[in-house]
Amino acid sequence: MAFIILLLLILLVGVAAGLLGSLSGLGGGVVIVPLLVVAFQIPLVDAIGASAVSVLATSTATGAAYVRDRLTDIRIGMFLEIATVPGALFGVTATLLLAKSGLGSALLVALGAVLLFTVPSSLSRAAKPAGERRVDRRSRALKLKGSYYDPHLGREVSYEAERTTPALATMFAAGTVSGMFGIGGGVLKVLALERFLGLHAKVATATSNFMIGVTVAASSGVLLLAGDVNPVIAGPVALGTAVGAMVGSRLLPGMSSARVASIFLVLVAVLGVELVLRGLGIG
Amino acid sequence: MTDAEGQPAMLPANAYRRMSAVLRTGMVGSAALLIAGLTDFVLRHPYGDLPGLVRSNPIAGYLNPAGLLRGIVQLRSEAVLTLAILVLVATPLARVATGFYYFVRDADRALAKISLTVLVLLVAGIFVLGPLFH
Repeated sequence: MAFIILLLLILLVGVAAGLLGSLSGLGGGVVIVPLLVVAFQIPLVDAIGASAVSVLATSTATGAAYVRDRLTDIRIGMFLEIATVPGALFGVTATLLLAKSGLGSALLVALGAVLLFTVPSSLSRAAKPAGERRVDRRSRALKLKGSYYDPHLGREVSYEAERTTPALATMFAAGTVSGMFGIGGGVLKVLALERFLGLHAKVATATSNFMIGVTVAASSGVLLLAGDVNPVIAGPVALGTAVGAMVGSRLLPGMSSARVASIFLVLVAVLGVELVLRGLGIG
Repeated sequence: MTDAEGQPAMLPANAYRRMSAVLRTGMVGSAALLIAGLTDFVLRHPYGDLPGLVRSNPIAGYLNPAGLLRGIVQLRSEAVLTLAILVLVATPLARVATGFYYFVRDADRALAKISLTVLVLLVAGIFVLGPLFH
């Protein structure tokens, strides 16, 4: 197949991943690595490098709008980055050590397991049940609180972060997964922001996106200087994903996102099974 | 911070605008460099093959300051692509530095320390771990 056609196909994969990821709320990163490995036979670490760069591009493109609209809680985001960045550095180190030790198949199985975990986690994303609020001392000391204007409610909504210790632990885990597989880890981040910190969905999504940029910058930077980011592959994926995500965010208000999410989750599950089988030498 | 008890502790509106501008500028600059570099690369290598490209990363010679500078001066597409990814990676770091500036300006010591720690972790992690695995 002509070289330019292959690059255009990679670009289209990026557009589709960005679009579906944006419409489903999962982000396109979760399907880029498996698609590059399965459909284009690209080695796992190169695929992870390309995916990390594409997640970085998407987070930067959409993050600018969220920050401008003041939906992002910058204080909470920067506070939690103290856990996501070490997590990402730990994760990318683990991946490079495993890959350079010839244990790439273990990475495939682990990524497949992460994809399969994503499906039930996404389905169970629901409003936190009303209960006793537990704003801790750290949250008060760091003034982890804020407000945003909700156009549907027609008023300003205030919030204050609650259980920061389990949130920090979850963010370290999210950073590790993100660093290991070049994905955003938004599912874990949003879960922690909503369930532990008690943030509203809109603020949680915007703040998660804000943190993803810094988290993935850590792993992308390491992979780039390690020589594992190939821009001729990463470039089309990044441009495609960013365009797809921006189109998706414009289409979102008029679409049935639940239906798109269901289709995307089936794709994620199929790719997860495929990766596990490949890693085990069955596929 | 100047918030009264019970009032949301937000950064000044200017900080949001500046951070948004940093992210937008980084994204636009990086995308422009990526498009220019990719177009030139494909025109120069119309019959390149993907497996060969994967085996030998075309930017391998541009991952050091001297090589990158030489490549940029010679307008090599590989150097432009390397610069595009570097700009993209540097954008969130610039955003953290912008946050640090506003926290220091607002005398918010705790968040200033946190953002400085994040920045040091990022820079040290990238420049220590990256070359270590090269």
